[in-house]
Parts: sequence; C-alpha cells; structure tokens
Amino acid sequence: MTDGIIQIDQELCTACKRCGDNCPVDAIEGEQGKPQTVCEERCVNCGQCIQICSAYDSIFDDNLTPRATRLRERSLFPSLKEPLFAVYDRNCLADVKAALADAGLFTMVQCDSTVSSAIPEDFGLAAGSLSPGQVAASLKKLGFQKAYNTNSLAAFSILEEAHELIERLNCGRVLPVIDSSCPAAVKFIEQSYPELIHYLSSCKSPHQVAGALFKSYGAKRSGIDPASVYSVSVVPCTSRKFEANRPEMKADDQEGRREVDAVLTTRELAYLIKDAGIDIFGLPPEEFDKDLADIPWLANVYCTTGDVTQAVLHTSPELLTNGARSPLNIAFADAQTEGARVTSVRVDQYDIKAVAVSGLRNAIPFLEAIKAGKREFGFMEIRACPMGCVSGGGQPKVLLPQDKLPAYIERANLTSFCSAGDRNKISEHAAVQQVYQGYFKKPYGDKSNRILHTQYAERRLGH
Amino acid sequence: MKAERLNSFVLADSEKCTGCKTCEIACAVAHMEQKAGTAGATDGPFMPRLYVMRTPEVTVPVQCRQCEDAPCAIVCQMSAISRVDGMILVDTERCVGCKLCLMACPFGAIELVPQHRGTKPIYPGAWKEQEDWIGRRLYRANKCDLCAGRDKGPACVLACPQKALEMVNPAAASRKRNLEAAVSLLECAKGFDA
Repeated sequence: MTDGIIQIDQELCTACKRCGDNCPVDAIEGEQGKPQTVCEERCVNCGQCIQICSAYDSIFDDNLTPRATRLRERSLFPSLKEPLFAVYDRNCLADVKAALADAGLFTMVQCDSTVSSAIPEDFGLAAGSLSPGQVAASLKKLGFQKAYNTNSLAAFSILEEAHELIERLNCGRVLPVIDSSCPAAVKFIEQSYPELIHYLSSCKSPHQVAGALFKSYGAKRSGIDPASVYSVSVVPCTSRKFEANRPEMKADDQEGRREVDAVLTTRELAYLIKDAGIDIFGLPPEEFDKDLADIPWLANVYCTTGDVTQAVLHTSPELLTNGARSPLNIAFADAQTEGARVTSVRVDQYDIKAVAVSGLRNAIPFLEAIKAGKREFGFMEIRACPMGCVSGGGQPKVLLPQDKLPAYIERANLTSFCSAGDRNKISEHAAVQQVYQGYFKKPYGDKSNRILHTQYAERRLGH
Repeated sequence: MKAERLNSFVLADSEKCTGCKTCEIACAVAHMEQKAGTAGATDGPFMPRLYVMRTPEVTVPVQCRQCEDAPCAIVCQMSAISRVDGMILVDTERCVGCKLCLMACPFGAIELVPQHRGTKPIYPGAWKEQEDWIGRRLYRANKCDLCAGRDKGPACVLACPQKALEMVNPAAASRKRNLEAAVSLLECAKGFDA
C-alpha cells in the first residue's frame, strides 16, 4: 500500500481500466490485465476513480480476504453494510470518533452545503430530502460542540479574493487571478503548469480559512485554548484530505498542528451517523452556529462551477466604490470549448472577463493560452470534477453509469447559487466586521495575509 | 405449422467486455426490494444473477441461457423451476435449497443466496432458535429472470459501459446470420468474376 489518499485494492481490481481512462492526469498505472495502482506523485486526489469503479467484493468469491479483515485494513467500521469497491480513499473516521469521545478536546465541525443536500442519497432517499438543519442536528448529536456551514464562512475567502482581484487589476498585471479553492486544480497547476503558480490566488480555500478561524478567532471568542480545538471539515471532496495535510496549512502559532485536523467526505459522515445509530430523519432541525458569519445568500456558494466567479465578481464593486450600487448582472455564456462558461462585467473603469471551467482536461486550453501570453481573462475558476463540487469524489457513489449525470444535475439544481435578490455586502455584514475589527484588523492586511493566505510550490514530476 | 418461439437470453461479447462488473451491480440493484441508487444506500452484499469471469485469456459475464430443455428444471424435485413466458423461473416459495439445479446447470448460472423479507434476513425452520447464527441463513436458488416486468428490459444490457451485452432473440439472430452468409456468398462470387 502506498501513502497516497487514493488507494486501489489489488485483490478487487479487475483491471478494466475505466478509472485510468477517466483520470485527468493519467495517474493510474498498470499492465493490461493486471491490477492497477495510483501514482501518488501525479494524482490530484479528485476521486473520480472512486466514483467510476465498479469492481466490488463479491460474496460468491470464496477466495477473497474476509470482509471483516478488509474493513479493518481500510479503517472502516465493522457495522458498515455496503459492498466495498476496489478504488477507495483513506479515511480518519477512527480519529474523529476518538476525538468526539475525548472530553479534553473542543470539537468544531464545518459542513458544506453540497454535503447536506446529497447525504440523503446514502440513506436511500432523494437528494435534498433533509434540511440543512437536520444535518446540523445530526452533527450536534454526534457530539460536535460547534457546527458551522462552510459556505457561509466562505465570506472571508470571497472577500479576500475580491481584494486580491482589485489589487491586481489596479496594478494591471498578473491576470487572470486563478481561483485557488479547488485543491485538485491547485496541485495540477503546481505540477503541470508551474510557470503559472503566481496567477493562483494566494487565498486559502473556504474550508482551510474556516479551519484557521476556528483555531484563532473562533477559539478566543469561545474562551477556549486553541490547542484544545479539534477541527473537522465535512466536504464532498477527496482532494481536501490532501490539502488539509499540506505543510502550509498549519494553524497559526501552533507547532505542527493542522487548521483542519480531520477531513470527512459526505459518504464518511453517513458512515458515522449510521454507526452511531442516529435516526437522522427523526431529529428536530437545529441551526448551524452563526457567530462567525451568517450570510444567507452565500448558502449555496462553492457547490457548482461558476459560483465562486459570481461571488467574487459580485463583491468586487463594494471594494472599488463607496456609494450604493445595484447588483451586477452576471450571466454566463457557453465558451467555445467543452465544460467552460464565460461572463464579463463592468466594474468602475474595469471590464472584467471571467471563465469558469469544469474538468481539469477542459482547463488545459485556457492554461496554455495564459502560458502563451494571452491576457483575455481577469478571473478564472477551475473545478476538477465534471460538474463541480456536487460531483466530487467524496459524494455518495452513484452505482449505475446511466444514473450519474441525472443525479449530478439534481444535486446542482438543489444547490443553485442565487444570483439575484437581496445580496447584502459581505464587508458590511456585522459578524464579518466583528472578525476583522476584533482580530484581522482589515481584509488583505498583514494578519489576514498571514492566516488566510498561503503559497504554492512547483512540484517536479519524476517521469 | 409455425415454429414456437425459442427462449430469448442475454449474451455477452467477450471481445468488448473489460470485466468492470457494472452488469453485476445493475443486476443486483434491479432485483433489490429497496432499490439503492448509491453505494451507501446498499445495506447488504450485492446478489447478482450473472457472474463476470476472468482468466488470463478471457473476461466475460456468464449467465442463464434460458435453456429449451432446462436441466435445472428437470432435476428439481420440488417442481420449483418452470418455463413462464419464455423464461426459466425459480419459485422461491417451493425451493428447499437442495442445490441440484446448481449442480445441473452447464454454465453455473444458478446460485443459492440468503433470503430476506424486507431488510430482515430469514432463517430456516430447523434453526429458528439460533437466529444470531449468521452462517445458517435460509438459502434458496436464484437465477436470471431477464428482468421480467422491467420496462427497459434486462438491467445488465442497459448498464454495460462497453455495450458488450445484448438480449438475443434466437430466431432473429439466426435470420441475421443467414443474411450475413448470403451477402458474403455474393462477395465471394464477385471474387470469381474478377
């Protein structure tokens, strides 16, 4: 077994190579007819191989390793009933369970809206059958002392990234700002387009920003020693497991401790809830904690491709002008290449053209254009997964090929980011102002740069 | 006299099959009491009625041929296997799990599988007092029913990403072969002319 996030069970793999054909970075290796392996160096951990794999542990195969042994090898609960597939991701379920039982720890969890909307699928019901409040209630029931909605906390990422966009527009260089919230896209650029690293926004992704907040301002606010905070993030994504372990993502002032101690996928949260015997459908809804940020119009941001572009563009005018301004009309049009949509807005003296791309392969023509010196766009958003985060590698695994696309469309419809209506300015929001006034002083300032921003490094591939 | 219609059956093309097992999953899901859309919603092992076989030379699913003179039906002492609407079907209520059909099938297309009522496993009468003893669940014969009653036909055929499976209508298949032979004869004759 390698150390990578994504693993292929050598006993279960039938060498059909569907995962390899689907891999955007050709990270699946192996001879024809032999079980395949993942090249950890190339792998961007998007987990689409997990979603496509259909080789499973058949009860009719007497020669297989006993199921109990396989569950133990994968650190899965003995209570797990579902079939086990050849491609899987490493998990830290046992760590989370132990932390929840540890009275010395203050457990803080953040949960993404894509998780809340899709998790009913793993309980045999249609996506969207549970309210976010019921998911919040199940997190509290599991024992988490604080439970936040990641998307609402994304306010800080959006605000910081909008500041970065404005600064780069004002300087008139290093454009486009390439959004850095998809960890698979970031690793892809680091290894395949290292010359474009400085185009990446230095802002951390929303769940890292939230993790950083938990262990700094959040802990202080709750009167908790930051060292006792155990921070968990529930995401639709397997690549966030890699991101949370990056050396750059250490909590401020804490030797070696992570901003996000444990990442759980949507599927893994369902395992925890089932293992704990919680009747998620019978729970009365509870509210997510709102003391760090509560911005209703951000509830479904970061769910589908284009959401970040909309939120950042929408926030940029409030940083450029002081007067009242009617909401920007941000409408996407299909680009000429597959999986990409473009939009353009006028903000003060700037015409900002933006592109949002789903699928790493679909991003290549745009990255090549930047490399060739073309300056068409001011902002670029890349989502590694086919329909953005709703189709992430950690989402409920749709069993049949013909059901995948309809399921992804359903999830996307349920979490569509509202582009119209009342969108109060993020920077004028009371909770956001409190965080800045009480802790960071100002957006894109020294302290926020130290805690909410990061840097990237070229990754040289061995072959 | 017009010939009676031969039983249709599902057949796989080993040239196209990659061994991914999607057909097994589609079969298992199609026969679930509570259909699972996702892996997480599946609350037990998959119980497919076709089996992907792998050897160094070939990868292909094996399934029931809906035999005209079905050995499984012949050997069944309980008259639990019969031909209904062109399908060889098991009446699980009559089956006692004697396994003769499993032994008689030339393709190994019959398996004995643990029985459920809803999500609750069923235990044989003789072991009622030992319900915790998972090793002694009630097993009964299970085989391909061509997804009888399913609108879109056999689930395995629809789900195969390689389009390696087809529902064969034997009469139509032999007419197609006849036609192909006729065309190839013509091509052959053209060769002589030249």
